[in-house]
Amino acid sequence: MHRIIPLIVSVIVVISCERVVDLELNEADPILVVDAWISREALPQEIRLTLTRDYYDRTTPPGVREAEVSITDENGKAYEFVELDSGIYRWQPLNEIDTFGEIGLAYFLEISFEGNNYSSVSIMTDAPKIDSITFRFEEGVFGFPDSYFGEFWARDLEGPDDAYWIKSWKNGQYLGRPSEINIAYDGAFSRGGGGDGLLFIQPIRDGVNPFDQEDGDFKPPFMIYLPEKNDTIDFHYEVSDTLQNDSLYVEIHSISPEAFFFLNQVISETSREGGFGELFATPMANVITNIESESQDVRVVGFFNTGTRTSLGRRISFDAIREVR
Amino acid sequence: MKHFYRLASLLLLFNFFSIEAQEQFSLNGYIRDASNGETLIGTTVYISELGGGTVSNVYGYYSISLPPGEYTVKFQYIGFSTQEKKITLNENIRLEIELKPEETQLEAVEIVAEAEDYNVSEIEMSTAKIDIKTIERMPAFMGEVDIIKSLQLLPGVTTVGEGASGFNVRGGSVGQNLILLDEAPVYNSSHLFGFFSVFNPDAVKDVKLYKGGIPSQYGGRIASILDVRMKEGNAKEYKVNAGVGAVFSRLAVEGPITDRSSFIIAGRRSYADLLVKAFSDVLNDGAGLYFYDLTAKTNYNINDKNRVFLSGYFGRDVFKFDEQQGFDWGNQTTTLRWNHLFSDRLFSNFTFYSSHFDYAFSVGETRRDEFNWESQIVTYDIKPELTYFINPSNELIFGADLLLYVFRPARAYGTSNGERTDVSLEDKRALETALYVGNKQTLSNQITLQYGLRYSGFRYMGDGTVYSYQDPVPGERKVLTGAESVKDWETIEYYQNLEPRFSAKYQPYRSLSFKGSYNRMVQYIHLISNTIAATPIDVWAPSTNNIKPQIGDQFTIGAFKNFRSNSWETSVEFYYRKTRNQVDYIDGADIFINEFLEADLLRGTGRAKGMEVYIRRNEGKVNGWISYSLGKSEIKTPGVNLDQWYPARFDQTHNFKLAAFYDLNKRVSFSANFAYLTGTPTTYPNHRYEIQGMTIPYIEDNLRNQSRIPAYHRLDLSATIQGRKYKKNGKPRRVEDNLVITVYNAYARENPFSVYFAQPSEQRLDPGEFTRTQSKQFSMIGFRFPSIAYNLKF
Repeated sequence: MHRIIPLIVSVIVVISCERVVDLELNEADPILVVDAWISREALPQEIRLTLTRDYYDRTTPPGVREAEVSITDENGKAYEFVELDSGIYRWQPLNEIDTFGEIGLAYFLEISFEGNNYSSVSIMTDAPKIDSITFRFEEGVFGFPDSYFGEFWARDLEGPDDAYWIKSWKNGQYLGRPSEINIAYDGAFSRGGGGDGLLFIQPIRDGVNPFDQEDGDFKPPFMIYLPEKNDTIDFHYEVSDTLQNDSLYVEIHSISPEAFFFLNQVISETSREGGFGELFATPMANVITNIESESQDVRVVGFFNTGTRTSLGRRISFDAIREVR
Repeated sequence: MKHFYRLASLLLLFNFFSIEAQEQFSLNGYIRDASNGETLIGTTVYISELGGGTVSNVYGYYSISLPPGEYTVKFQYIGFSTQEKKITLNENIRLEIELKPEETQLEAVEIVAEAEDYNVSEIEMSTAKIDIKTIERMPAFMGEVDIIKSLQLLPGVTTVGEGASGFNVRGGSVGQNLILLDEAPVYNSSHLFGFFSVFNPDAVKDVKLYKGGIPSQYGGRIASILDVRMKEGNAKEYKVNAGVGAVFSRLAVEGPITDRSSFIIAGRRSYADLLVKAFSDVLNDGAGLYFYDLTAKTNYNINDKNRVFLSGYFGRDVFKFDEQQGFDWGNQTTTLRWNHLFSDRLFSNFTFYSSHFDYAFSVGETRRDEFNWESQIVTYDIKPELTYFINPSNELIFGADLLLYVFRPARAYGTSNGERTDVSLEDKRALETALYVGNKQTLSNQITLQYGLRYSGFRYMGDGTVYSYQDPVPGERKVLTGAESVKDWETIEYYQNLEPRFSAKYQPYRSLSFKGSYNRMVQYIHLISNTIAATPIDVWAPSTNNIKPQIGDQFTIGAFKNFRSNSWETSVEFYYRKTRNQVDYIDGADIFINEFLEADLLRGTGRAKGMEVYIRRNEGKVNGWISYSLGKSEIKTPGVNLDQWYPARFDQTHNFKLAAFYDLNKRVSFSANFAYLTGTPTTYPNHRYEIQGMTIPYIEDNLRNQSRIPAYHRLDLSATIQGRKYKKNGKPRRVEDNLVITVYNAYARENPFSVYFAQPSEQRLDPGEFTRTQSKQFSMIGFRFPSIAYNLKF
């Protein structure tokens, strides 16, 4: 839903206005933040422990030192996380085939810090392979330029309740804006969205495109550049002797249904475009956490997820174009 | 409560026994506007010898039974010349009355016509009545006369801002108001989200809002009932009413069909898209934005005792991004009514209506990749009602209501690269029933009582799947424990409630009265809306095995005093309302196309209290009113806000309104509105944290609505210039026209609609860099908004 609405409201005549206001927000005591997203692979895995800070504070969050962090699977196999740097705790694989975890097993996270214990559980999930990446051409409308749009092709795994977080990079730069968080539940938008076993639906396939602006004008998400004009080519391109064709790199991270709801809430709390979208905005609330604190009086936020990562990248070229009819 | 029922039945019995104690004759008939034949609702019929009387009902019919004798009867209606008749009652008399409108010119103001004292003498309280002529004189947004926006200038009625659908009454939510257009419920009262309302002022005769003391014939919502009645159509001559405003162009035609029937047909359409199309090709790919409505009504007087009415409304808002993609919504209502007089004293009305609201989305650029979603609510209702004018002291009303609902939360299909999936949700069906009886009893010239009982029931029925959930962990999504299929029309859950209603008036002398009321209202269908303002895509849901009906109990007391022969009206009222099973939401509730919606809903308790002051000047060069409401509306839901009471989203502490009219001369008049509202409650974060590079706000203890957005205040001005009444040669012009110039938000305040927290992202972040976080205030209308409209009648 939240993806359709900006589309609706963008066409309404704008008579509104917006300005930044400074608010005096109530002070609060910092609490522990657990950032534990584990990938099933033979690479070092990191868990970050930090503290919350004032809402307007954009400095590096303070790391939590001298905590004890471990993950154990349901068969008792333990993975030790060693403090590496301020707030960063790392598990190191023994060798190139020492993969973290097995699909379907439950993993228990235990943290002890300042006399309190925190715990969580997550089941290792699997992600589908990305079959291909293509680009399609679209003529510009309403001030948007003629552009290529990237699409990734993958099929949701059979069976209900598979959720994914699709991350993408353009020319090596991670698309990390709140509006660029791209998640799928069974290949569609939500639980009961009917996407089980389906190719990821178009808005999710399209969710890998950046909408950057330069001097108030939209830039095409992806573009082909030729050094000079060539009349024998039917496809759209731009002339540049310095620019290289754009590239797209996509990762699918499998996530638990709870992690999907967590990210869904992150989107509604952070992706606030303002304007008439405010008509459809829900009241602010804390996003859920799956970290439990042993002491009722000590609060904690954050998320623990164990999943699989698959990836594929492609640079746009005339071969990569999918013709749409 | 038991005592109340006993008392009520005793009083009723007493009445029936006393009916034939004395020979009585009835004086009855219809009261009409002499200029166009429209019946007049709520005309006072005052019998001087009794020091009291009755009022005409919603069909303009009055009936009063009196012992034989000589009587002086006065028929009074605001804006009309009072008519006085001397009658000798020695048989039943049918007396049809036609009242002449007062000329709205300066001289008339000085000849102080006796203004009505309806507000003091009637038992009704907590009602807001606003006549269409007043509405037409008020400054309106973009010059478009708007009934719902005008109501918001009355005490206890508010909105969360421009663009918000509907209205809020005494701190209640939008979905707790029942909006009736010729008795049919209108599920969404807005055009263009909430900038305009769906009622075409050209076709509306009467608007009345019940905030409290609600009589037993109304039910189904807990905060208020808005009863809108359509014009019947001019029975005397053809009239055309046309207008061009900044948004709508309007046309209404009315007139007699035969000497027994008349009609009105009124349409409006926004025309900005047509202008754009004429001058540019940007909409040629099928994009567009427009809205329209069509209102029509006809009636036929079969004979003295029988009259039938057929009315309908059809409206739609359409937003198209291109040929394929778009969004639209609209209401459709049809009402068929039959007024039948069983006798002079027994008036009956039989209503059948259907009401339909739906919206639809289509997105996706090709047929291979698209998503279509339709949602709908359909209602059919049969409603017989009888009014028995027993004697001058008793007016008994009784009836029944049988409503069938069909909810279609989603008919939705997705296609991904040619593969189609059906994500539709099951339809839900329910039957709402009510039996009611009410009596208005005049005990003496000082004391009037109105009491009644409504027995309502709600049957949630199959077919479909019924889900059951675990006892909830407070504030969290409920866990599914089972699903069961049920057969067609099988009862899944049944609720029944007794809703007592009671009002009393004590009028120590003619210009002063004290009133008190208690009413219980039960609401069986719920508007599921978790946004700052209600929107057209909110869904209605029935009470189910998991959603309980909302029950509201309200107590109201008030004092009403008029000064200087009713030229000044004043009142003060206090209310307290407690609501059980108020719908609340878990954080991050998913309310669209969610099969397990019930798992995301919570049950809370609501309480609202307040004071409303109203001062109105009816006459003089400068007239108008001031209204002030002091209110508090709170909710307590297990698992939310540390289980403590928290302010409802529509809680506005202070609400001050002023409406003023000034007639400069016969042709030029000015009007002004001013509104001041406390900012609505909202939630601000205290902290932020990072997860996987995303910055997330954090609210300590997850407290809700502990802050408020800045206050809202606005001044609107307008000037109306009437066209000349006479031609240069001295002959009267056939055409009546006027020009209305309006300035909305005259001192250009940027009134906040919301304050939200955003992460500006013009520049992409470098690795290791953290995003900026900021708070922004959004104003729907951030500047002065002038507009001009031209209206003509012939």
